[in-house]
Amino acid sequence: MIRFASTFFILLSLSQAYDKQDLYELKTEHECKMCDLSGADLRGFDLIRVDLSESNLSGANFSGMDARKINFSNADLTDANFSGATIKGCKFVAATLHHVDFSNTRAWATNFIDAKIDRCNFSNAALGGAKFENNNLINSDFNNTLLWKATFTNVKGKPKIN
Amino acid sequence: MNKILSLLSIVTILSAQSLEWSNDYNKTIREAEKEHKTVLMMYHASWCPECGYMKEVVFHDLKLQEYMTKHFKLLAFDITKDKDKLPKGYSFLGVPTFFFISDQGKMITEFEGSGNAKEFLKKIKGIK
Repeated sequence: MIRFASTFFILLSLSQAYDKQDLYELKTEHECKMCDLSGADLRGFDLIRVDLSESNLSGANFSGMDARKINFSNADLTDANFSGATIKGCKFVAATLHHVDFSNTRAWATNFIDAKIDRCNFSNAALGGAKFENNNLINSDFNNTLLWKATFTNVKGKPKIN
Repeated sequence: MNKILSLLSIVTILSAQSLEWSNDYNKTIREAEKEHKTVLMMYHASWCPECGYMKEVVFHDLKLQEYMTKHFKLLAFDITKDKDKLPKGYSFLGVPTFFFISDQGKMITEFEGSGNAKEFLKKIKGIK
């Protein structure tokens, strides 16, 4: 029983690995560059136009929220969840995007230049006007994705434009 | 036969471009009052790809055009070019935003964003 309880608390602390001070900074200063927000549930935060560049956002939860015009450049977003979110105009320049859920997002005019994309789910997302450059999209899911006027430069596995 | 087909395609193209958007707020409200119609006012911008998608793709759907023409007076403002013409009292977070205004000039509802023609038609159906 004790072993079970300690395992539970270890797992709980691992899933909430973010720096509490960084989370406080984000809440109060509306900016958090190079922060550790890994595993943080950011739903309910006002994040419009926030600079989260170079931050550790692995496993962070942005699902369903209005997260437009955020700067995620050089951030680590491994396993992050954006499903159903509005992420119009966000910058993911050179960000690490491994196994990120972008399904059903409104992701108009997003910038993915030099992003390290692997096994991302873009299904049913609206990616009109998005910029992809120097990416490998082979393992990502673009099922029923709106790609109107999206641009693809030096991209492996370019999806079919609909 | 070829002539008929060409004529048909010209008719189709012309009808696909037939939505007429005014950018005179007061005049449109007065016309709406006369015709007992709701005003559909769109805020858009030339730099917004989502707005471009609505104008170049979605609003070319004939069914949608028919519904919009029948039920609404259409009003549109480019938030950058028509900055000085924007009517007061209509706040917005992003574009495209669609406002629905009664023939008495009162806002009924509004929403932001796009969708395909079917989704857009579903959203606007029943707004009076």
